Amino acid sequence: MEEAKAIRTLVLDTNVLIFSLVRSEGITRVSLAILLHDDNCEVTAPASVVEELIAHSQEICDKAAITRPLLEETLNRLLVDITLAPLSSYQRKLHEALQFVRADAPFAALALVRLPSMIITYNKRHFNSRRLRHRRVQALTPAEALRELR
Amino acid sequence: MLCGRMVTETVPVEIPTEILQLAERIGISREKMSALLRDFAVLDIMASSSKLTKREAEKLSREIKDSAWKRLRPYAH
Repeated sequence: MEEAKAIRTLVLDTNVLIFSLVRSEGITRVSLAILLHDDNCEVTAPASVVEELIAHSQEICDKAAITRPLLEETLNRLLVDITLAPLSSYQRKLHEALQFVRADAPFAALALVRLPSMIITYNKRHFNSRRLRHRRVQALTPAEALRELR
Repeated sequence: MLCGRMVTETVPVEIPTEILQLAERIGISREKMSALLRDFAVLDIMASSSKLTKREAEKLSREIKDSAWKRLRPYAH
């Protein structure tokens, strides 16, 4: 009988969602679609940051020159596969996460409560990767995460 | 096709073969494959008409995270 793989937690940075709207970022769209449907992964994001992303919908539409219904439909479809973590679930690690990052602290805090975990981001340099690795948190781009999970 | 005031359009989407190969290698179940391809197609249709640049995407992302952090910072103690 095949041994069941452990579920990995992937903390999704907002920049990956936004980069998937850039026309040339086909690799981001491929990676994101696969990661969201991998049975061995749970993709999560801080609810407060996703709420802020939705609050910025009109600004995103204006910059991207796309219609709001199209953006909302796409976001709604993607968010079905993303577990939105309330502040209460990672608040106890928020102070500790400040050792590694500032405005990205909610992502690091969420990763610290869901060990072992991966932060899927395009801002690896914002996360102090070596120190986070000691805590069993990896900061990887979507393509690197795919390679790691293969 | 016209339905009242709503116009529907058929948009061809090219599914890269890599996505199927990668998904199979990772072990995505058959049941999930159609949902995966549908999500990719929806994203790709939107991106095909998007004028967003990487620089703007980075700036927007930073603004969003900074706004969220302003609300969350008081809880980091």
